[in-house]
Amino acid sequence: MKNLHSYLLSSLLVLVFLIVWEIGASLYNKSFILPTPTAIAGELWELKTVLLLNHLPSTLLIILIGLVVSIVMGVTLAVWMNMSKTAEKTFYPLIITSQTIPVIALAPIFVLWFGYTIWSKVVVAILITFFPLTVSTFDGLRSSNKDLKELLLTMGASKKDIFFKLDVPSALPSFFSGLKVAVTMSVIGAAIGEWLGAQAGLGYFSRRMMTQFDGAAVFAPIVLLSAVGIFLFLLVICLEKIILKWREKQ
Amino acid sequence: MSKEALAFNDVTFRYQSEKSVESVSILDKIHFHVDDGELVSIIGTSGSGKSTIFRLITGLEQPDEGDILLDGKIAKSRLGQVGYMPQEDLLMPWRTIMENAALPLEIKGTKKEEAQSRVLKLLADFGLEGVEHAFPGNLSGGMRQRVSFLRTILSGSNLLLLDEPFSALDAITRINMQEWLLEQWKKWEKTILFITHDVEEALFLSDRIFILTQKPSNVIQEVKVPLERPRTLRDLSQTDVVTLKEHLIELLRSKVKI
Repeated sequence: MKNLHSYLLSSLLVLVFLIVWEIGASLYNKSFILPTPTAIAGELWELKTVLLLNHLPSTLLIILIGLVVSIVMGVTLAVWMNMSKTAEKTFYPLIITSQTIPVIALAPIFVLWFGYTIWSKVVVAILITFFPLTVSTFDGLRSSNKDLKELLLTMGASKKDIFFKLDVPSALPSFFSGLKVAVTMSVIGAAIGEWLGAQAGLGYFSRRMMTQFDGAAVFAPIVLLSAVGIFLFLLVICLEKIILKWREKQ
Repeated sequence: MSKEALAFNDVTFRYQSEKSVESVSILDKIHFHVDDGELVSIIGTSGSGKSTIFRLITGLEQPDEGDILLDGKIAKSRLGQVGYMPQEDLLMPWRTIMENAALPLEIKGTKKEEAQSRVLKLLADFGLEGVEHAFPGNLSGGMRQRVSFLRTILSGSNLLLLDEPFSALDAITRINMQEWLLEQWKKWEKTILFITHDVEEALFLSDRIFILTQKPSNVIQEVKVPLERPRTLRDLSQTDVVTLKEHLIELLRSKVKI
């Protein structure tokens, strides 16, 4: 009940926004530019089999491969930078500067390199999610309490003990913050990748409908993409609540 | 009983500051010993090198000159040999009380189940029954310090170093914890070296008190506390104890330059 109440205001705002949109779009009456929310909902219902069975799985696959690769690479790099000062000095500035590269502008190159395979899209998703994951994990590892580290040393702890008993648990809250950003960005990455060249996927479908001036069908897969983002975000929050349950009780 | 649990033989320690080439002497040929089963306090103003002495004993720092002896033998690598209880409880917030207390056992290679069953048997003695699955964030300051002390005991070392463990507690909790500490000390037959800046606390707890003079500390003044055990707080108002207390405060005050 309390939970319901805390979402009440934002739900109301969304409702108001949808109503204004509905009325505005009906008055404007050019559905290929601005379809009404009810038209989009209708389109979503009509296209449900195609969207859910053909296009959603191919987009989800890009997102999942991208995230898994990003997590493995990001965490590995963060651990390496935490262990070695040289690695930190070498990679950290590069990771920061890499963020100034407009990935979207680069994306057509990936099509050139990887063709119309899944990998040209996965690369875009990786490039977008890699940064928040690496930086947050690294910051988390670095944040581990120095006094606790010394206490562990006085107990005779090895480097391995300190890593697994102190550094990893200290880094987890920060890692999850990074993961929350990364899962929502991975959806964007996958959609951008698909715009540039794909045979299936929600991003691809949306763009194809644009060329056919079908406004409602442009928006329908976007609604679905955003639902995927929200779903992944909630999944991370659930995982976080299970793993970091010590934070709940305080 | 006269066996020495800890001895410093002319230990010199210098701190290399980053700005100047010259190093600053913090301890200069310090010499003292603590007998097996004794409870000794170190008092001194801040910056007098109390914490440096602890860092040297635990092995986090090595002396520039001189030897540190544990149980009568020169001990070069001391990490893992003495139990250290820090000023803040330093419990891991992500571990339950039981997991926190079991930490030194885990590090020494004891299996998790066995370590936790050992902890479980001791919780009642430490006034911690029923909270084994709670997280440190839910416990009071006094309880957290008891967990921290239990963890120090479970290091298995004979020599325990306590670094102002009660300084963050309120006055009443503090008195209770001091009495409780004396009980535990007697029960476990440990040797305790206790840092404090509270003269009264030092008088109440210790057999002997070391007073650190100014930097570089080269003389450790030593006084014996003229009280029998068991003690009560009322004993602190005996004339000779009061005189000693005033003497100690005078000693410390003369070191503080305003």
